[in-house]
Amino acid sequence: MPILALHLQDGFDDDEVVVSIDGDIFRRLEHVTTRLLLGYAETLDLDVPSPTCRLEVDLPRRGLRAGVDVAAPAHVGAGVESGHLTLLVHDEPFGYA
Amino acid sequence: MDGTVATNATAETDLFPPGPTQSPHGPGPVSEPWRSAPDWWQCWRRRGVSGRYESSGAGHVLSGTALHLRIDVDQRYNAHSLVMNRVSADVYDRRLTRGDGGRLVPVSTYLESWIVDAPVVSWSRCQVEITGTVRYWRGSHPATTVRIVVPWRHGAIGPAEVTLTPGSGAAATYSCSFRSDSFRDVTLETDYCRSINQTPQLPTYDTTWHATRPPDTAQRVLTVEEAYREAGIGVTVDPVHTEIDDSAPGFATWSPAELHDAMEVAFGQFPQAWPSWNLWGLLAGSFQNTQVGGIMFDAAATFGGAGDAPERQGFAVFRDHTWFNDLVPGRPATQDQARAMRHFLYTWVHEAGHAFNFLHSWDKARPDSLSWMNYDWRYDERNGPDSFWSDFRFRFDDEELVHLRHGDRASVIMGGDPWASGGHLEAPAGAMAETQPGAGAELLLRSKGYFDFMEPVEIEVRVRNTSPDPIELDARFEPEYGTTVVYVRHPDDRVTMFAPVMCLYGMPETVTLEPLASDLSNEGRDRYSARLSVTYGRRGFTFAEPGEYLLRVVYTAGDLLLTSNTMRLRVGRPTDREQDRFAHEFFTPQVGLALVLNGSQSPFLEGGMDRLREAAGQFAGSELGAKAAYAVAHSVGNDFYRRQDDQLVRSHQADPAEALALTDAAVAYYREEGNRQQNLAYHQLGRLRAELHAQADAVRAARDELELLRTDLAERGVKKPVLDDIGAFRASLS
Repeated sequence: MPILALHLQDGFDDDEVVVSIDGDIFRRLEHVTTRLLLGYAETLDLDVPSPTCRLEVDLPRRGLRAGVDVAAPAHVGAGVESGHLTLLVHDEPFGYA
Repeated sequence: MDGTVATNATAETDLFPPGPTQSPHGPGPVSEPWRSAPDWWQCWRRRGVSGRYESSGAGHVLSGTALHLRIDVDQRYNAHSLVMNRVSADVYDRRLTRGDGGRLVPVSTYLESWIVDAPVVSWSRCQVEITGTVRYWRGSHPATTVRIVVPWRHGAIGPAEVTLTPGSGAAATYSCSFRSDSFRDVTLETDYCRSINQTPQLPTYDTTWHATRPPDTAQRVLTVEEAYREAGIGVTVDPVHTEIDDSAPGFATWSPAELHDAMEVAFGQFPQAWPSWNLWGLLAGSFQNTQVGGIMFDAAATFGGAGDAPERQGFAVFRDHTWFNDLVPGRPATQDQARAMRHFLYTWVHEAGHAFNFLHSWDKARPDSLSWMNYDWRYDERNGPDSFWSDFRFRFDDEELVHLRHGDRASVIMGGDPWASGGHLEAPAGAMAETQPGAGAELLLRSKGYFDFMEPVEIEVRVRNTSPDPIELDARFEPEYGTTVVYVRHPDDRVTMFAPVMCLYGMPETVTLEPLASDLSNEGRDRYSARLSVTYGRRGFTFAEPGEYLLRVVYTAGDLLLTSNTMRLRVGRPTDREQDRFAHEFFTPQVGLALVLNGSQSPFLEGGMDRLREAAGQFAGSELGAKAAYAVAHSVGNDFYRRQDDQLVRSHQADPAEALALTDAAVAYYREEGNRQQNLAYHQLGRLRAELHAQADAVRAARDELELLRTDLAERGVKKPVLDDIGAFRASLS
């Protein structure tokens, strides 16, 4: 199955993160926190059922939700900035330093 | 003087109308009309005046106040080294201390730093005058102005005459000699793991190698040293490189803790006193998260670091990251190879930047900054594909340059303020005093990084002899004796000096610290540790608010003045409504005093003792419970006398059995936790319990208690002298 790499990046602070693919909850994470040294919290490698899908990320405790149509394989960066959750699709892997 | 023009931080090229054409360095080699002056050649100048100046050079003034001055008003190195129009300085106290054998040794103590944000610069033919208002980074000072005159003659710059005038007070004058065109100097030790130890270990990048660049990029070759030289920092890469054997079976990737441990072993400068202008860089294989190309691992664990103070001493670059797949030695043959080398340089400079206490650009609300501290892909997301490298000029942004060159010393120097702690805040005078190399001893402040809400806070201070001679010190480290001052920065940014409830006076308790033998055979006898309780003072509970605190200790006794690292600790929030309710009853003077006194049977503190008993029971199996139990047991296990009808009568009879029962849960907790940071607390409790057993004529139980304590502490890495001391106490029980 194609892989979708979801990178949880900036702005996470002890958050619950719910990841859905095509409307179905795929993963649920607790205590997601950005490591300030890297601007990065963690990466989820998602085996998606079909190459094109709808990826949605939900932070229920903050009432934030964002979605993007994506063609796997791809790299998606999720970040919280100024009260908004954003998803950005990248062709290349993200790097951190 | 002729041609004098005053400016407020303007470019020097505007300063001499209608005089001769200016070089970037001001009135340099000139033609008419100055050449017509009979002594025109005397004021010929080959370089700018900007750079570092120092007063009281060794061999001149051995005591008094010294100044390390940084002038940044004209071009100092090359056209890529931008002028920040600032003046700043570090102030040092120099005193002669009597060392071993009675010889006098000069010792510097860093006191404080200041900056002039908007200097007024007046250029003349043979000198420049700089004036401005001084802003001290910390502490309260009278409004102070500075006047600096830097002359040049026969090609030589300076010395700079510096006059500081505090309000209506007497002016202080310093004569500062030019030292370097770098504002600060750092030594970088680079070590390499065996698995990747092949050239290139360090980056060398020609700015024209990759085609994606600003069209007017000047061709030059950048290394780590050169990038920082342009930024104003003199970096010297230590020519000696240790190879770290990473071939152990099963070892594949590095964690922050493993990197810190490797630094402790391999970094030649690690055993010295910190903070210092030394930095360690490791070229390693892969990080535990292989998407990470480099990390400054020496920061708090909550930020992703190793969580071991002092911070910002080392970083790592991971050669096996995909960024560096196309890395080749020498001139690249392809754009991919050029890009790999460019990113290799970027990563080294970026990680070292974290060690200078830089956050990422976006964390400073400058996501569009074209800086070494931004991520290219983050910039591109906002500004378009390839925009970062199309616009990046291989530099830090202006705010970062001001920090590097002129920032408060403690917030820049390695091992100073914790990473990302900010720190440009008001503090009591003396709070930032800092021992310099040569003091002969190191004062380390440490504690665990996280305290539960209401948990009594105890910190460990450790003095270590770093000199070749024995040193004597007063072992009374408790703030009550006045030898130690503890500064605390609170979550609301207030900085206070911990004021103990009592003041004690007595004769010094002298201990001798041996110099550490080269074979480490006397390790442990070169150091002395003490545990200080700073939970409650005259201002009430010190740590009553959840959040982050910074602590610093200054120790003064006799000739010895030692300053510690800045330590960060976090106090947690109430975990539930019940704990929040209990806090209301806990944070009272009665409980505070009962803790300070290690429990009391005085009826005046009965309410406080009741709360501690409650805490010992309700929070058994936690630090709060263990420490409350200790305080209660300490008083229950001792007789208590009070005055009745003008006579002292015993109002409480020691009850060792009850005291032991009170601490059963606490000692079990310390044994199960096995946490090295609890060693002192466990040691203290184990001794108390042994004394209680002995009091109850249960000598065998006392000896067993001590044997178990010694075994546990040995497993937790406690040094031999402490274990021997426990053994001696055990032997004395018969």
